[in-house]
Amino acid sequence: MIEIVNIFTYLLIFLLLGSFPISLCSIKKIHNSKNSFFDLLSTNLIVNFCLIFLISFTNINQKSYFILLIVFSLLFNFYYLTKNKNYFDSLINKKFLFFIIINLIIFIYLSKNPTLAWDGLQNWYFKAQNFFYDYNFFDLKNVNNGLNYYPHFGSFLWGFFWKNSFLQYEYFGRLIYVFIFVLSIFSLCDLLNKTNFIKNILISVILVLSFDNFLLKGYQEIILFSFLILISKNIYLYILNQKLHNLSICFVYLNLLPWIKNEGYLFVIIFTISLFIIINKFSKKNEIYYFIFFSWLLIIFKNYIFYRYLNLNLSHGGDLKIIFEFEAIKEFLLAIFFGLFIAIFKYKIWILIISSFFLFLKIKKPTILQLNFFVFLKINLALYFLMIIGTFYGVTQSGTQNLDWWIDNSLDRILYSISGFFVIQIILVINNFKIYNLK
Amino acid sequence: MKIKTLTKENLIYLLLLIFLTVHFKFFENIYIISRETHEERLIINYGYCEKNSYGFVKYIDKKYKLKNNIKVLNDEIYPSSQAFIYKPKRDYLQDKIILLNYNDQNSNILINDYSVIEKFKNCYYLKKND
Repeated sequence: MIEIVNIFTYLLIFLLLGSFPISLCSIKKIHNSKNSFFDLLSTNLIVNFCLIFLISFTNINQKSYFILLIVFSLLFNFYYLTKNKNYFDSLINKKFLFFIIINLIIFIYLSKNPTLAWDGLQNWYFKAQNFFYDYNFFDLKNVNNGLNYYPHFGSFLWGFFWKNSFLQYEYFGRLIYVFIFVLSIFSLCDLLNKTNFIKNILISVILVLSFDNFLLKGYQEIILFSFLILISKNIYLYILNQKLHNLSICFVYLNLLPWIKNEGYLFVIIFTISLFIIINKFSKKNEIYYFIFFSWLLIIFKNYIFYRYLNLNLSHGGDLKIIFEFEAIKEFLLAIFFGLFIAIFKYKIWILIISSFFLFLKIKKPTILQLNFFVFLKINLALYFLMIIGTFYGVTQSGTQNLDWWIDNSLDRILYSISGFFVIQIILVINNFKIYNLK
Repeated sequence: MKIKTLTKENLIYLLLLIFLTVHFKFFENIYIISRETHEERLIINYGYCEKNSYGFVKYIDKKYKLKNNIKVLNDEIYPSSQAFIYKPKRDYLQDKIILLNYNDQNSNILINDYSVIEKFKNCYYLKKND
């Protein structure tokens, strides 16, 4: 029973961290919307994540920082509550309760079987444990277990929340992954211009189709998936409204991806190339140029840090000797397309995504801005598939493992992460449907 | 908060919650969590002396109060159980190992080179012979 109470307490702590340092009033002004609860949580969380991320490079005591954060959040909310007694009124509604209950359901689900799967136990756990013992990024070179060229942000969050839980059970650190996952889906569904009835059904459908218990066992793909959802939402809003805060939030989420998994590099590169391709569609081109420039600069900076402090050359273990032989390429393509086909059926959210791409232009004529976003998504989709094919061809030629191994152990997870970026297309198609109002 | 009972919206919330609680086995999970401790659940899922053999590894660590790290080998294909008792920035014991799911036909080690300190089924805590 104590464990269940602690799980609930941790949910309250996540909500508390999501309510500080930006107030609900400021969020409403920034996002110019009435129902900004999930924007509030996602914006505040990314601010707190950035600060926590910076702490991973310092010797600041995590426990002290955590307590300080909780105290400040409480005082901050108390201040706004005394100033405006109705401060929380807009939050307390059925959707908020629905959000809380879904989080609890999945927290309890994780708690029932808190084990780790292969990569979680073999690689990521040791990084999280490094931070659990109050060591920092620079101590990672002393961790002799696991793959040392893997980045640390996801496992740092895991270690941070593991350490600061009352019971200090390892899986408490992974509850934050669930929270981000659920939050990203709720936040995305705010874009839906239909009734709550449709919204709630869609939230449940996306949640069930994209939930994979296996990926909660220490894998990082669930954060990539969730961050990509929030990136797609913010870039969509930027394309629609050209507001800098959307681009800034998108920039922060995007540039944290390489610190979660090395695939994050590819996501940043593809995203920035796609932005560059459609740059003529933006009125404020300079903002996009800065976005691309600083994203690439941060990639170089990350490589430099790993090279300088951990003595690691981040070629991801790849020693690429690419050979072009027609027979080999044919065999490879057959295997990879079969693998992709299987992975799409494993993560059924892809079936909805692919259908929505076909349906988008057929339902109702979209606006020019919506069309620009659709083109942007299509470029991303094409580049992602080229990237998958190219990368898999490269790594299989390097000879460390054969293609079957890569398809069995990695293809489905990459496809799962990427799907986060395209879930928005389902929302946009439903927005263009004429649906009988059930209110 | 006023909740008007049985509006269409409330009904859909209720149905979705019923669906999700059933889908994620919420009540069964609550029952299991309140019945079994965290440690018991880990042993059930990782195994005592099977699969990752969490129970045996933890038992050895607790009984012998291991201050340094120890190599944990598994004759079956599972991710390393090292993580269960790994202590950062500590050296490895050179003369002792934990061997899990020992397979006498095809083992990672020659068991005759070791003397047995502790044994449970196919799991061993071993010391290298001088």
